[in-house]
Amino acid sequence: MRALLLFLSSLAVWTLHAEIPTVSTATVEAPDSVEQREFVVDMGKAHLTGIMLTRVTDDEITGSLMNEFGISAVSFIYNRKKDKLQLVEVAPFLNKWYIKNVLRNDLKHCIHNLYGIDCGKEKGYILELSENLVKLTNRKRNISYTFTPLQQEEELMEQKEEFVHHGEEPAEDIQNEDETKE
Amino acid sequence: MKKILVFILLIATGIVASYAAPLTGKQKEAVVAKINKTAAAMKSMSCQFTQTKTVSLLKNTMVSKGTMQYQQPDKLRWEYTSPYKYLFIFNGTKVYVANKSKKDVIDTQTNKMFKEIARIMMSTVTGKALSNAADFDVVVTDNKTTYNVMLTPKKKELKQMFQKVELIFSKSNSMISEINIFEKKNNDKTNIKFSNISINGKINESSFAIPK
Repeated sequence: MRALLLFLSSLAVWTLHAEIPTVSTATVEAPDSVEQREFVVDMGKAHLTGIMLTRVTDDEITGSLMNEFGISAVSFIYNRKKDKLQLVEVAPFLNKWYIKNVLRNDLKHCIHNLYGIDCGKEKGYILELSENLVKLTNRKRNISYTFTPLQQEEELMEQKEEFVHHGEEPAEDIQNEDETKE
Repeated sequence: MKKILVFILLIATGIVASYAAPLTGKQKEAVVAKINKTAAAMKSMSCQFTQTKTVSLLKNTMVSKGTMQYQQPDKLRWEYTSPYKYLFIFNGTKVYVANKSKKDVIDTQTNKMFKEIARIMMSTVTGKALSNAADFDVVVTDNKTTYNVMLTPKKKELKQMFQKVELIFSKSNSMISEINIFEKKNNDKTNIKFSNISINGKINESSFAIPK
């Protein structure tokens, strides 16, 4: 618990297998570009949040997960041909063999679903897809992984301009939303 | 031959001289005292920041931006506004963290770890960390326009996260202008640059309000 709190977000992963349909979630990206996503790992009473960066090439998908302060949690390389995910760097509090084993498998399944990699039946997960959201849930452990693409500053500015043009309020900031509810 | 050797020696001396040597003894104490004096006089601070995270494995950087507000003695608001929204508020005994989907309130009276995190964040931002011998070993170098302070963590939890933290203070006002965080096991680095710094201005108390 101390280690988790110290990082403000981290990953603690368990896996279990159950059948899910294979769904294509391929993203259209320029070759060798770096994608940015927000992630949330929800474990019921606890949750972890941060940013995932991935670089996609024909042979590999390389990724790094970190918290919002930029502190690294996990880095990995997924080999497409071998369908194998290698953990390159793991934060000390995650550096236990039993955690790394499940982390390796879970991240691999996440990558399958984020990039539309068809590897046959993937037991143990429920996949939910909505507009920009990919959510993978471990059914037995009730742990879910949610990924949403990061909007770049230009897109946010365009949205703000659109709101102003239509006389609507732009998205409220996080704190004010709570004050309003009070 | 002699002329060549003298020439080489002069060049070498110049190269050595260009690397700032760590300050020792009274020089270091004087710089730390100057920074501490500025920190003590700072009742409040607000600024913008740009955070650049270098991810060596991806050969890429991630840039995020936000704002920071500080009020003596124990209030800090650290807010990311782009490209993601994330808010961290420390207000005496409580910490509030929130993003677009999750919000948490942590009581630092019962959670000492968060209390430590907040305390260290505030002490590095204000410069008070230089005087905290329990947390860091401190090496100060005098560069042309800045004092560069290298903090090497002593405590186990911080040592696991960071190799070292570099604080860069402007000589003109003894205030922090930049932070570099060097991670332990890789070449990853986080750089935070502060801009539009405003000192001792009025900050609305609601900035530090912890939602119930």
